[in-house]
Amino acid sequence: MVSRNTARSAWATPLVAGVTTEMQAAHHKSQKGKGPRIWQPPLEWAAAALALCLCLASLTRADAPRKPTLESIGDQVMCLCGCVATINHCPHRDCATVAEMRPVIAQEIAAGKDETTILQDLAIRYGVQVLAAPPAHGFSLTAWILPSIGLLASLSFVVAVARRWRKPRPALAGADAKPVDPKLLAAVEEEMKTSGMTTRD
Amino acid sequence: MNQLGTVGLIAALAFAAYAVVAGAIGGKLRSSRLTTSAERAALSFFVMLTLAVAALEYLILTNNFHNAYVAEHSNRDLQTFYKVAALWAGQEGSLLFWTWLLSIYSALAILLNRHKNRQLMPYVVAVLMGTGVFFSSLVLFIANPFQELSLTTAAGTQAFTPPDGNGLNPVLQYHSMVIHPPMLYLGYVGMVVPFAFAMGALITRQLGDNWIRTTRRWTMVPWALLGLGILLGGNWAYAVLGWGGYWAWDPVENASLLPWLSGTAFLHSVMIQEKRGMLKVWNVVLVITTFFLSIFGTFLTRSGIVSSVHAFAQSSIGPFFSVFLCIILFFSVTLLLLRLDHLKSENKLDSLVSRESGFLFNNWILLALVFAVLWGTLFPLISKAVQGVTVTVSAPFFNKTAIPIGLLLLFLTGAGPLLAWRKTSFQSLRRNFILPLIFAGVTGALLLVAGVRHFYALMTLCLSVFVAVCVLGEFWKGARTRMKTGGENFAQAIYHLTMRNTRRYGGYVVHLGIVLLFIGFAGLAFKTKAKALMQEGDLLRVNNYLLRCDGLTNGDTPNYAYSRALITVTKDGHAFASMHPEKRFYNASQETTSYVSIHPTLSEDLYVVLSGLDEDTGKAVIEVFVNPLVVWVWIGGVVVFLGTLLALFPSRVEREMAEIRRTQDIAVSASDAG
Repeated sequence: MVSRNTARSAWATPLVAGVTTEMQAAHHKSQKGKGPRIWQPPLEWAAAALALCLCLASLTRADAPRKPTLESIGDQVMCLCGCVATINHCPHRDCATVAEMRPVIAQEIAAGKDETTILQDLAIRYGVQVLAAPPAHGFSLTAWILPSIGLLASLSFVVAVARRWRKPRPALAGADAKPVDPKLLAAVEEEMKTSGMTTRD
Repeated sequence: MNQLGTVGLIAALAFAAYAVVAGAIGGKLRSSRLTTSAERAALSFFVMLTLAVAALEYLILTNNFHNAYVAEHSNRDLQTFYKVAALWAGQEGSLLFWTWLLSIYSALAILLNRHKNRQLMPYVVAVLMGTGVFFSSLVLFIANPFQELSLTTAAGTQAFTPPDGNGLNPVLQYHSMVIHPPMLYLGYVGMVVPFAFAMGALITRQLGDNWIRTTRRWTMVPWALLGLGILLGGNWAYAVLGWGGYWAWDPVENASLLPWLSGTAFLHSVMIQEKRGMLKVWNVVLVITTFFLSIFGTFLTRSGIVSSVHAFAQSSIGPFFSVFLCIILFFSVTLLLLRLDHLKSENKLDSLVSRESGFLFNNWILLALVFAVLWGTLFPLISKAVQGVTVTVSAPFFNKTAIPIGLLLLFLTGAGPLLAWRKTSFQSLRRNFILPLIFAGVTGALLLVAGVRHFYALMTLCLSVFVAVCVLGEFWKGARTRMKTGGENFAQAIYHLTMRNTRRYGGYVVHLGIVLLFIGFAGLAFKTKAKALMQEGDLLRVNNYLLRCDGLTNGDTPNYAYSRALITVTKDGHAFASMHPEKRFYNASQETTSYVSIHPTLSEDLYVVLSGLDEDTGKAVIEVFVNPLVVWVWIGGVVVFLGTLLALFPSRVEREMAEIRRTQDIAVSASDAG
């Protein structure tokens, strides 16, 4: 035997979900033609703008000139002893490669060169694999731009799919909707109020 | 014992192969006898693998160095705790362990579904055991842990037993390393169950809500364990490798992150299918992707196709994994294409500003992150193939590409829960967002005034406050309603609110955990490092800490010899901590490793490393890092795990629904009997 209360709260979710549409439709119907329409910002474009800003910010930061230090360059240069770590993080005690590269970097810094020039010089001297990140030119440029392109292309895809899946305008949908039974509406509102539920449940 | 282990493996392979055939035929012919037989074979697969695992553990614990695996990965003086862990320290043992975990998941899936999903189960068993056939074949034929050592001389081949073993890799002798691989494997392997249910649903055309409801929990469990495994791996790297960080964007680390990200996308999009009957194709794609990435991660770790600090796990089994990956992809994609007609959406989007579209954007961000990380991980290979030049893709690249995407994700972590299903009005958006935005703005202003100029750190902290206010606001609003209407106090209201919908509020706790993780990540921007040669009486100042070297001691344990620096630390003139970083030399493996001394506080960690001894002066080389907010990474990870456990706990509504279903079933059975 199922108690009345148990059954009521258990079925509340589908009941609320079903009636919400009717409520919305009724609401749209009642609002049709009344007062000025409130402007709603297209949120997908806001999201796209935010994504674009963050991508640009990241590229800007990538290009921002910094005063080089042994520490900052060391984080961007791989140790070539086979440890697969930067020279700052090489786990080998008294690593000969680190011992050779650090003075070279120190000389470059002392010569007043900027970070980009030092990294270019190191790439010429030791090969491009010495850089902890691919250079931003030639084929390696694709490493940098493809994630941003992927992000924006997939955003357009998501927006396009969302638009295609969207129902016709609410006003049209509302025109066909049946009026809501006021008793049912009151019961649902009461149920939602007592259980602390919202339409986000 | 070696023979017993091998017999166990042969029997396991035979049972798995039989279960595949019996399951597939049983499903096709709808024969319950064959299906039951397949299920029993799968349970026998578990029993036989348990036998093999027990045999190998026995060999390790009894120091049987006649076994090649034991001789390679253990030694007499190794602590018992680490001896147990030697099971997964090497290639052969870890593959056996992996296969055993697969058998446990398979057995659980069968036992928990013995009265449910009966149409799906024959195919679920076939897919699970298909994977079992692959792994048990690998263990038996390619990486057998039961091989015996022998010595070939002019007189012939003789059995050989060395007096002691080579010992466990020193870097693996750390407590979190003992549970990190099992957690990671439980995460990877567990993704096979949702995949098997998806394949079963596609084969039987049972593509309603049933398989998706069944697999949600089967995805949450491995997802949580994978996350915990990643966290423990980070903790190990932080405490053992001695470079002051916990995440280096190493290819093998990335490989573990990929299925976790796609699994996160699935756990969100699955809600749209449950609530609205939408995204059916997408959910199948995500399940396939997550399983594929789990196996791909293993392939990346084992094959050695990319350079990694995890080189100790590399071997020649990569090609077998690539064949298996091709089979998975071909089988699942073909099946998906054949069933597209059965995966039509039942509903449409009511509005672009709704919970559904929020989930769409969440999936977009997560998959974009998967793509960026995968692309960066594989780019050295692509570059080699295209331009013949090997380039390195390491932390600087991933930090620049993944951080902006991560920030977008963090924003959605807070914004998503504020959107209503179907449609959110502009007024509702404004009402829900205004307070979090004010808090985030005030935080930003305060941080700027405090002198914080690091762009990403500033963004991360502002967004963290935004998300925290959004999520805590949801708890507050719900609790306030209950307090008003039910007369409950705040604690009761929070408890009943949470227990009424554990899935929703467990999810919110997970989101709060993510916020804590990001706060921990932001601390990386303010890291300080110093290095000095020190002897007794020398002082080193780092920020507001003053470190005094009180000397260097040497000692021996049965397993290793050590040099230990004795450092006394004062902070702002007050006694703060006594720290003892070590350099250890392991006798069996003849390798050296660091044992970092860490003093964690809620605001920052003081991290001291004894890098070595300077050969010219004999002084200790001491490296000191002040790492702000690191402890929040570990706390955040634990909160994410606890939130997932809460979401797994059946809510009051779910229990009531189950009770109703049970009552209805009893009523139907009674009427049938009558």
